[in-house]
Amino acid sequence: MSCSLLLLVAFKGIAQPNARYIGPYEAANYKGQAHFEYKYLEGDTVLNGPFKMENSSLNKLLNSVDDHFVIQGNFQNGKAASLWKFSFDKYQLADKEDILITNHQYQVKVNGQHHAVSGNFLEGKPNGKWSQHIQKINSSQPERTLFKSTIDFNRGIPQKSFRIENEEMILAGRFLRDGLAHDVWELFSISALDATERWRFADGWLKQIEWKKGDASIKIPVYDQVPESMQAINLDRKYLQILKLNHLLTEPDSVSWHSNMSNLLEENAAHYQTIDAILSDLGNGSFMPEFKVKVYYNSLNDNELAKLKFIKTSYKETKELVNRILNSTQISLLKLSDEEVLYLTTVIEKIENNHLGLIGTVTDYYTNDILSYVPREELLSRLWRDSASYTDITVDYDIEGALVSNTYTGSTAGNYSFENGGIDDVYQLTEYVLGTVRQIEETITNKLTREQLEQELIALEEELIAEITQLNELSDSLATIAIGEPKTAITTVKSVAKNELAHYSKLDDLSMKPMEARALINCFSKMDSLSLTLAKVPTRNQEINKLYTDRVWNPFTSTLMDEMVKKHILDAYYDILLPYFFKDLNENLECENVKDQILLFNGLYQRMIELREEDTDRLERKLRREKNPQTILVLFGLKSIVKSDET
Amino acid sequence: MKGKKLLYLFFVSVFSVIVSQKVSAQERPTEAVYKEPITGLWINTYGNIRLTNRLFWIAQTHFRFQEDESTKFVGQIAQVYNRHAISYLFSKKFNASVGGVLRVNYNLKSGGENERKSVPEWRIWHQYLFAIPFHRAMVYHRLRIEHRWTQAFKEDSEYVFRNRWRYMFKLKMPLFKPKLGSNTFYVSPEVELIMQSGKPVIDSPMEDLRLHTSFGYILNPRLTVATGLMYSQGQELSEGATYKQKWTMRFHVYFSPDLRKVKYKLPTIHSTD
Repeated sequence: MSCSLLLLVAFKGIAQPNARYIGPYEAANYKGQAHFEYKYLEGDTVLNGPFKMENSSLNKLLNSVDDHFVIQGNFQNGKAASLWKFSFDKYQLADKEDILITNHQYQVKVNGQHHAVSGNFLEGKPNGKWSQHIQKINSSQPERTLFKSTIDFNRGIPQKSFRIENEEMILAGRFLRDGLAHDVWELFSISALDATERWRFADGWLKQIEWKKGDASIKIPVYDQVPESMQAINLDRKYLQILKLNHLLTEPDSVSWHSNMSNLLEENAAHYQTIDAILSDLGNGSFMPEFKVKVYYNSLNDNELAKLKFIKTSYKETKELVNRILNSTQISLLKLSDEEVLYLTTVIEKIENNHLGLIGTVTDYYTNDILSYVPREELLSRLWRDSASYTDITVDYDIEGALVSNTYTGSTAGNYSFENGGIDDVYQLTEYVLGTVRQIEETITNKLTREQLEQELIALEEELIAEITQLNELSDSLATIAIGEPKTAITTVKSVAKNELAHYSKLDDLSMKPMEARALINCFSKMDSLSLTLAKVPTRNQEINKLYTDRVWNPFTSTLMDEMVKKHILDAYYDILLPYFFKDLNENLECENVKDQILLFNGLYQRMIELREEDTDRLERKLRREKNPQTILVLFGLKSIVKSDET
Repeated sequence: MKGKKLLYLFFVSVFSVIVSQKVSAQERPTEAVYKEPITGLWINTYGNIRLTNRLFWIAQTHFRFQEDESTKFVGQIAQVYNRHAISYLFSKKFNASVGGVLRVNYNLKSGGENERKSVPEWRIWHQYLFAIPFHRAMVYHRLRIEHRWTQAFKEDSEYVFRNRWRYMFKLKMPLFKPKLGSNTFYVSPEVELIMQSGKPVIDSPMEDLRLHTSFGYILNPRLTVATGLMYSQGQELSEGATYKQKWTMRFHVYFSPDLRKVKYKLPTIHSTD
């Protein structure tokens, strides 16, 4: 919000009080055209004055469903004030054929749902009567009410009586002045005359819940004894969850929790939540109706908080690991062929259902801030099963039609005793589970990697064989044409390749093999080039000879005679450099320097061609005395391509 | 074709010389007299210096020795040649040259009275050389015409003018190699007939007939060395019936530097002729 407005300020210069914005806007996932006023206050922009934002799409309406909304109200110094009206509708065309054109306007009828919210704000808090009304719309006419609630507020605190209804039920209740639930809240079914559910409050304490089942009525005590430690909280989803947990602890088996009242309250809370999200995004305070209730409270100590924090993060990590393992298509494939992987993934599945179920529940309690409001030791011990079943994970799985039972025990199982109970046990369990899942993941990954490596190696080695075959064939055919030093060198290339391959085949470390194979493929490919380069030497020498030959007129024979020019360069080339290159190749060729060898031969050939045209008097004078190949390479200007170890 | 014509001319000339001898033979010896052969040794340098794409400077220096009473072949210096010319290369197959010669003739007889030890001889010469490839070898026909002014050793001798008509047939055959080129041995048989004319030439038109075979080695297009043995015979100028004979060992050095600047050397001419 602030950012958006700051941008506007930048655009408009210094904002004056109640500057106006008209344009696209977004709040709590509602996107539309906004029209509002704002002002610049203490370095920030705050909404001030009328606010309206809406969106509707004719296109969407014609094609599918239009989510239309209108939000209209006022702000005073950034806080909602005065009358506000909200409208959230879902419409679709009732009948595409039914179009009325009157006064040059098209009119169509729609089906859908209309949700209207209205009420007043005072300094950002609901004040006075607020109503929520959801109606089903048929052919642009309200057909029936789906939900309706009416609550009186005094600066955000619900007052007096309230009424919430949906298609099936009506809830009526009342509050004390301070918003605490009080007296009897009754839930009536549309189809029944008498109340089907009653919650009896006394000064915020829910004393008893009464359910009607047929003619019988079940009375469940809730806070019939006022606990020593208490706290007043909102009657919201958390409170309802606390109630359910309390019920779980007090009435474990005989009566299951099936409160329709809590459902209706939750529905109401959800609708208020929508408005709250929008207003929060616009910079306003809380809008949630603060139905106050009192509950047992026992705050978490630092040690418990630290452990719960660990449980939460570890749960997340473990869950991700488990999901990764169970959702991996590669692992799914591997377990078809690998019994151990099948076994381990079955263990993981069990951990997910068993261990993570418990840890996840505790994490939820922690995240929803419930553990302070229930007797947690008791709760956790109820959730806890046999410790041994957590450390020794027994699974059954199918191997070729036969059911195999196996028990997996994590290597760290011995470190955990689960003797302290409560959060500490869950903490230990979380630690054990995370370690175990990590261990299993590593085992499977290694297997997977090995499997992948083997697959990869098969392909690579096929390629490798193809390369060496090609190299051998090339070398053989070139060797039949070549003579002398090039022939020897080509044979050297072939034998070096053979040795490199032999070295590769002796490698035991599977993980190294793909890398080595790739390197060898690359090497053999380069050796192809090197062999071709070597085979070219005689042709290149002929070219060089021709290039360094002048046709000179001999007046004594009256014939043109070939005369070699720049003889010192030719001598250096033929008598020193080429033999040196061949010797170096024959003695030192390995995969690492194949490229260098190609560069050397090609570079020398190229240089010889260049030298023919260059003024080389000085070079020739120097060459006259020079016999050292290294020095000659420097004189030729070829030092840059000489291998670094020779420099 | 040119070669054949020249060969024809040569035989016609020889025949006419023989006929003319028979005509005037009445007061002369009935048989030709062949003198005992003498021996000699030549050390010749042949320079063919390239000046431009088509012009060459021919510079030759020959040292010719002749036996004396005690020493065969190299007994005494007989002549020193200093021959120069400008040669024009018309094509690979023909070139022509024109120039001058200063030859110093040494008095080989024990000096008589008023005789000089050496006298100069001046020549103007021009030459037409035809070169024809023949299988692996090259065949050459050389026509050389010399206008010479010679002097006797006697003090205050007058210069005597004569013309020389020379034709040489020569073969250069590479040995052990398919063609004449660098680092190539070759054998070169040649025959040259030297005819002369002029007032002093009465019954001795055949000055010299040289049969010479040399073996050479072409080090590179610019340097060749050769050696050979030559037999020659010819009429004495004053006594046509008398024939001199001579065996000469010859040592030759051929050199052909190129004085053109490097940039003009390329492209080499003739390579497309």
